[in-house]
Amino acid sequence: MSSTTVRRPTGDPVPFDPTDVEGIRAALTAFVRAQTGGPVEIGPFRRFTVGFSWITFGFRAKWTEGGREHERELILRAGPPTGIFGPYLAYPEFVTLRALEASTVPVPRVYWYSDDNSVLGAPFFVCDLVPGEAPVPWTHDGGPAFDDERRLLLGGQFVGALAALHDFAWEDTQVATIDGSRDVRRAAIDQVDSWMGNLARWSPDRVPLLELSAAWLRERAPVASRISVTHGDYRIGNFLEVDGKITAILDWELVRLGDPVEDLGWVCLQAWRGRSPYMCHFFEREELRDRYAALTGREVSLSDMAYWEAFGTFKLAIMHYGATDCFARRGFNDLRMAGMGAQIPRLLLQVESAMERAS
Amino acid sequence: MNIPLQRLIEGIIATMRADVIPHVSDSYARGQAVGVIDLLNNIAPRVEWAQAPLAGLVDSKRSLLAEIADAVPGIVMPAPPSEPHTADDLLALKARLDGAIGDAIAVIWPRRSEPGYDRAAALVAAHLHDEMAAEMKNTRKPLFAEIAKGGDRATT
Repeated sequence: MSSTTVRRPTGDPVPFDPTDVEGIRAALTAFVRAQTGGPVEIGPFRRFTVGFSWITFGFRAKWTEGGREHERELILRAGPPTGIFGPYLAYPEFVTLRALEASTVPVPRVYWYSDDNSVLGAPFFVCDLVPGEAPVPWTHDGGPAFDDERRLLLGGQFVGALAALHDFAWEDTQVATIDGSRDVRRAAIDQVDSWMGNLARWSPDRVPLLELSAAWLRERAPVASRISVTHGDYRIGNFLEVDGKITAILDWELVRLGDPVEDLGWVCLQAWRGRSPYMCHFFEREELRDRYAALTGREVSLSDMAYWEAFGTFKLAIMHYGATDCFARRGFNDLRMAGMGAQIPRLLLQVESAMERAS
Repeated sequence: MNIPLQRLIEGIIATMRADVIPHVSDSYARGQAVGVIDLLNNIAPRVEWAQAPLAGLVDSKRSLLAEIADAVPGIVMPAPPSEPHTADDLLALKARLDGAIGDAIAVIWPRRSEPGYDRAAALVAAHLHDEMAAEMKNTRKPLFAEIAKGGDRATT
């Protein structure tokens, strides 16, 4: 099946209203009809509450393309202009998912996308609805998310998919056109600079602790052993599973090229494990490192993982400023964003602790 | 909390109107939800963030900058005198002092092994830690588990 894409704006932007479900459905139907050149039926939308950033609708679609009829359960993901990381682009996520269909990384199949805000008023893409539940890191009592059997079963796949992502040969694919660092000496510093730039956009006030952290991170920036596709938010909560099988890795909006150890450090964040001794409720740091090394054939030092864990905590703290800003100044009325703003002191203390551990 | 209180109340009201009340099927519960909006509308013009903790933060930042000036003369400018009258005044002053602390960090950090700068670096680190530890006393554990599950296990 082919898919057509639109990258350049073709008309005036329209306002994005996620409550205007019928308007979005009509606009999407017209868009898919233009892309496929055949009849299209898009069924009623149902909104999913998953995710803090992009807005997700599920629907059933029938369309004809190249003389063949298709009927599938699909997902529309739209990045609202007022969302945490707005303004968004669908292109990086779409081309990465398209390229990874040829890999062993479990990803939903993608069909169409557009970054033209005259279509829905927001960048969007359409992909398959993948069955499964998303286990979340936050348990009621702060304890384990899995029993030992599920922990090992899912954990092995979780690390396996990450290793496959980092081993993916991106150079001759469209993924080579997405943002990121291609210089192993700049990978860490580029990320620190990029997130400090985000902080400057999202916080009208200076944040001395994060300025101190940025100085610390720049000074200790490791040289990457290679440049890989990095997911950027690889953790429990961002995959689907059915009966002990991971069916899809989700939420690729922060995908970029960079140091793959960044993803390993992100897995180790305090925020994804509560009181569990296991990173993302799966493995202790040493076992995570050993399993990853066995799968990739590449040694990773615990000190580099600790650096990227400190960076990840710094990045997560800045994301909380993004959440605060999209509520406070961009009119995004999702109270979860305001709730994240209330947790900034906790995150800043975690940044301090992560730097101490990595020192 | 970095969100202006008036904006926080406005956002709560908007969410109640757009995302909550239309989905409450019980008429008494719906009336109670509208009652929340009614109360918030009347509370909004009468409240501001508590001034005492903000004043404490401002004092600690002024003290830090004075101590840095003692440890390494000339690297920070004295904070201009001001008399804040409202929480917003205090927040604006706190932001200016944080900017001065950030400027001081940029000078101190690369030279933190030198005499004077080492003491200034230690003072900054202690201040930042103490500030966050104090903020944590007013920060409740997040309800992310309940939020993720749609609040099917209500706790306080």
